[in-house]
Amino acid sequence: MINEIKKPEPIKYYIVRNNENKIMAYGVVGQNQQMQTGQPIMDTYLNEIDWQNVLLEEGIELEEEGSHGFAGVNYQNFKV
Amino acid sequence: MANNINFGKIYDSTWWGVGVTSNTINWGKSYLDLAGGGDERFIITVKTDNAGTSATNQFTIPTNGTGYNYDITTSDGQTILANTEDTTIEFPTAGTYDVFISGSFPQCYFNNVGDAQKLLDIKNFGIYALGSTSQERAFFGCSNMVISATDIGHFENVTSFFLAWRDCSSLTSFPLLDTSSGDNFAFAWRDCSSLTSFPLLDTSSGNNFGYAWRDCSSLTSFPLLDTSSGISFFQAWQDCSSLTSFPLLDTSSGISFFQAWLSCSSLTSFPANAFDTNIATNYTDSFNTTNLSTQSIDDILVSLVASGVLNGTFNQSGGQAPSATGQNAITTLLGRGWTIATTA
Repeated sequence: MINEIKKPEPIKYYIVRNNENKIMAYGVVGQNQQMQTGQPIMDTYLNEIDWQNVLLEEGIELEEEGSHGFAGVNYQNFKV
Repeated sequence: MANNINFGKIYDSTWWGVGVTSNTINWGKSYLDLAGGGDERFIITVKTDNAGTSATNQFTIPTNGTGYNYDITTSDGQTILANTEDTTIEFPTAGTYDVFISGSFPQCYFNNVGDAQKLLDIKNFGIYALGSTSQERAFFGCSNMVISATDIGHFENVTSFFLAWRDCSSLTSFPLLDTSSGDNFAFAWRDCSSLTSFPLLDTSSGNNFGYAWRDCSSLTSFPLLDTSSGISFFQAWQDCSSLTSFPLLDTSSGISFFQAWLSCSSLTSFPANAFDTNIATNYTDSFNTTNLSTQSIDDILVSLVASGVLNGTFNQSGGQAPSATGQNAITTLLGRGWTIATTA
């Protein structure tokens, strides 16, 4: 089964996981986007803070950096 | 090589040194290189009353670590010998002066502090970087600096260019230095926002290109660099907002393309087969806020299929949506566990 978010209004945040509940991807889908995942589990969020808190609980820290990054978000856990 | 040189004419003392009183110049020692012709002094122009930490009639040469034993002469006639660390030069009045450095001088270390904004021009690299393996933070923050030098210094042994020219926002071009030993180019040219072109540097040893050209917002083209050893392309070209196309680079060793082309808002054309042999799974936000054509987004998705990689992530926003060709590629990628977001 393919999980999908298509042209959401308002925008939606997502976290997808594999069968071991490991986070495989996360992000935000804008109003002119569609997102699909081949992973079995997808949680969606309307509130960015709720989404960030779940990621934080899993050790994924997002860094705000003004105009840079999509939706003002940089992904600090990905190092250079 | 003789120290007395009859030029036949008197040269401008601001370039050729001080003490020019006749057609015969007594240099004390020769600054002409053994290859014959080039001036081996590191020559810079400074404006003492630009913002900085030294007084408005001073300039501080910033150093880092050991390996320094350098002499200074200045265009106002000063000589300061045997310097081994930072040196503050005091001029009679605030103004613009040339500073001539000879001897051993591995690197400047402006690091976005001190008198970075007082440096106006590198007129000649000469002995600069001879024997150096690191140029980390060398000219970081030299936002008023241009490079008019026509020589290339001695960068051949430098392995790290980390932050070397970050925020050199007055550079419109960059010289063809020998960067063949460089493995770390992270942040090297970030925020060089006036660069309109980039030379075909030898980056074949580079493994870290993270943030390397981020915010080079005036670049209208990018050369076919050898990036085949690159492991990180994290935000490498983010916000290169004047790029309309991109070359077919070899990024096959890359692991992270996180936000690599994010906000390249003019990027319409991206080559086919770009990722065919790649091993990376992380293309998160790689093409968000771009302007990709249908052909280009299709080509990218088809190339990700060709890579055969499982469980990856890929994001595109802006530009055109994939056609049926791209949608078919997405279907294949979903079957391989990918998470894909595209323009709809």
